[in-house]
Amino acid sequence: MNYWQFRRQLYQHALKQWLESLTQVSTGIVALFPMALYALLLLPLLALGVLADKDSQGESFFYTLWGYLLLAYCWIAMQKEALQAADYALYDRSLPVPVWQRGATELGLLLYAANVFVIGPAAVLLAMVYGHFTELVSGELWVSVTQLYPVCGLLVLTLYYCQSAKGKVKPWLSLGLVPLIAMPWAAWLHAPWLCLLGLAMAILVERTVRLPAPSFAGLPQGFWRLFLQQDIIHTKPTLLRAVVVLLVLVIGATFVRQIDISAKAPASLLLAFVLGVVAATKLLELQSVRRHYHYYLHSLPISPRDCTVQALGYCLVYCLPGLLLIVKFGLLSLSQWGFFLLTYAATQAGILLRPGYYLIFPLVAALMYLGSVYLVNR
Amino acid sequence: MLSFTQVSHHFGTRTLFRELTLSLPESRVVLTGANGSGKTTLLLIAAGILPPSQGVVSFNQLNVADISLRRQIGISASKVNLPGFFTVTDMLAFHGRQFNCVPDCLWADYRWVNAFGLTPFLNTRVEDLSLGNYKKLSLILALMHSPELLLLDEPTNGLDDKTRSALEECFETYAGQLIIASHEPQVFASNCSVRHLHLDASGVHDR
Repeated sequence: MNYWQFRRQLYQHALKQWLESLTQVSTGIVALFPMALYALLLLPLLALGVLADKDSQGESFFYTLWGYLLLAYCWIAMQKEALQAADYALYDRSLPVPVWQRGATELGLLLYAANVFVIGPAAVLLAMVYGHFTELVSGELWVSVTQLYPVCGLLVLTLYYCQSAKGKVKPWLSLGLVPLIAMPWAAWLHAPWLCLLGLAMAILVERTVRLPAPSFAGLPQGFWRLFLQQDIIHTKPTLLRAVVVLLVLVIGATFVRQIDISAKAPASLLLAFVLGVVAATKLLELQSVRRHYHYYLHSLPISPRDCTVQALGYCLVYCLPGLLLIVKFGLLSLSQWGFFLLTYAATQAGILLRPGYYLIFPLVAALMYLGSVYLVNR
Repeated sequence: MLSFTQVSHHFGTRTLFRELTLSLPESRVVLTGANGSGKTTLLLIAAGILPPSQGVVSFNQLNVADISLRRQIGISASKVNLPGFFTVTDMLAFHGRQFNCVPDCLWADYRWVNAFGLTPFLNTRVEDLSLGNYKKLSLILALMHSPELLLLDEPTNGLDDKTRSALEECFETYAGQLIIASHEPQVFASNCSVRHLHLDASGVHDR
């Protein structure tokens, strides 16, 4: 077995464990989207149609680019330990492998892990270069450049985010603050180059200005501290939840804004339902923490009922940034917010009463809501 | 006094105890038994954190399942998994707050932290502690609120000499009832009023 095969086996072994733990920590999301991981592979391909087109409208290019890069970053960030063979790092470091071979293997693994996110734009770029070959050699370079720059920019940015997902610099500005702040002007970003340039600037800033390390000094004490610190130290489930919410919102925003006005209300209701379930299933994670430390928590002078009340309260506060984000996207009307809250409450009731079948609760609540709306409108 | 009344416990098809009835009025009890005989399980049941399949366990005539009794019981056992993401300081602060026993001093000056030599590891995450230091932390948490009933599972496992002597000193002067599950027969060697129990497939017997 050569070094490449060795690292690939470590990666695949870690990936299997990661998928198992992902299924455990994000039971809600996986239950809601049983095909999510397979569908995720199709999303980049769909997005490429918009991103490779220099005539794409600013708004759709903006949202698609944001969603694509966010997904690519998280795709690699979640496989970081597997890619770095973190569990066997000491043994790996003890191997007499030349630096170049180690570097080449890690690059190979990164491309192997990023697969469709990098191969997609690379293939489109190759096809476009092949298509514009005569223009490239006949001297009409500017025409070719204007045709190729969106997909070139996309490829470079994807490679950058895939590589940076393995490092310590978080894209808090380029994939967080900047797109959020720029949202109201998304339609005015009339050319892809504006989006690409904005992202490049933001990357430059975030690589220079480092976020301060999280401090636990001012955090609340007591029972919430247990949940809070668990979330701060083990960020993967929170990251996954945040990305799912952002992706649902980004895709939803593109979808809802482009469909016929008569279909907007049902589409927003579907969004409200999905977001309500995703937000409420945080409680599953907390219940899992409680199960994991079952004996210790049982030894504390706090009843399981009080513990549940604390978990519900924490869950609500945890979801507040997500709620603000939904408000910012402005996709839900007042009645749809009511439906969101109904879904949230029904899902949590389901998790507490029938954890194995908790999705039945929001589904029944949704049917009752739709039935009552139908009766009122008759 | 800790007492078991008609306590049975099963793991799947395996029966660990069958209708165990036992009173332990002695202030010092040592429980021995082969690996897998159920010593730890018996301690967990005695602490009220593992409900038995059948029967009742009470301490001073109160059912140990009662939440109000938690403040009177302390347990250190390897099966009691501590939150690994906390630092030792966070863990102590959290636990102290739950039991209303946060000391007035800094954690570095806290009696048990000093006695067990845990001061250099106050900023270490619980999941990064060595076996011995994890055991020390677990013991401190059990001792912190000065419980009337202290249940310790293999308390000397992995401990260095300094901590062992601090622990032995603690055992000699501890005011409450102390029940230890251990393989080491010399625990309480200097104390003649210790009740020795042995656990095997047929139940619990005096030695």
